[in-house]
Amino acid sequence: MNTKHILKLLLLATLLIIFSTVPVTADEFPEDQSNPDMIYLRGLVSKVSTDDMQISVKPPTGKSVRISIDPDTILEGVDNFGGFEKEQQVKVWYKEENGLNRALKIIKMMELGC
Amino acid sequence: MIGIFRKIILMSVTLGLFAIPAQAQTKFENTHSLEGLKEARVYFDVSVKDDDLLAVRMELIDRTVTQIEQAGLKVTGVIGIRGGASRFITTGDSYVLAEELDNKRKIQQWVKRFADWGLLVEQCAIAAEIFDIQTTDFLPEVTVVGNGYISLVGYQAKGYSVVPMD
Repeated sequence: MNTKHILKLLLLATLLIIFSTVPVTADEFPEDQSNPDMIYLRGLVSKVSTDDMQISVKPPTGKSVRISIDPDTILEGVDNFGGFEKEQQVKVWYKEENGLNRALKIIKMMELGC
Repeated sequence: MIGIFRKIILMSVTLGLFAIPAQAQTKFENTHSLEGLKEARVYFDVSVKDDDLLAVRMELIDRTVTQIEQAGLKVTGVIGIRGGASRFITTGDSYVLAEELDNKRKIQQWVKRFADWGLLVEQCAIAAEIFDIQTTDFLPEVTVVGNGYISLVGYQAKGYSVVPMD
């Protein structure tokens, strides 16, 4: 094995390391849209059920969607489940699993006066 | 529970306003402040997000305009809508929760009435963007402006008095 081969192997190993350790980025949650892996929803919190850790989210038109929140759900704009209240604007990315809509990420939108 | 209390308090306040006898309402006048004026230019800055409060604010705009006119002044008015109030001046039943629907319908009627009176109803496009409201979903009586804050600046520069309704 000559130096050329060793360099090629090193380069290949480096690339493997880089691509295998790329962290989960914002790309995982497509901006304001669904993808084959998850469904995007934006709307108003219409109900908060503390007992079963669920919120219902009503899109601008149509019925509310019940969303389950678990410890793996990424939350932005609120510290924890207790931060959710009715009439808040939220963006939700969720996945249908075992008959539940499991929230992957929820962003509580800022309440700006403008 | 807190929401129920809030609604009860708001309803009490609203009922209280209407419970004031007509005689008492006309007992007080604004003669001193309006003395010498022939016209009132008013900008109602409406940003309240609570549907109960917003419905009350609409009634107060009505009362304010009516009383100024009764005092003999011509009213040139603009109702600037921004913030959470924006959801309630859209068409149909969209953008609100089921329990807000009754008030939304009242607010829609107020907007139509104000427009009929010749008041200009302006909606901030930035608020529409923030609340993800399609500008085509606003009531036909509503004029969408680029930036509600700029409207505030402009109308004040033109001598409009700003009445905050937050």
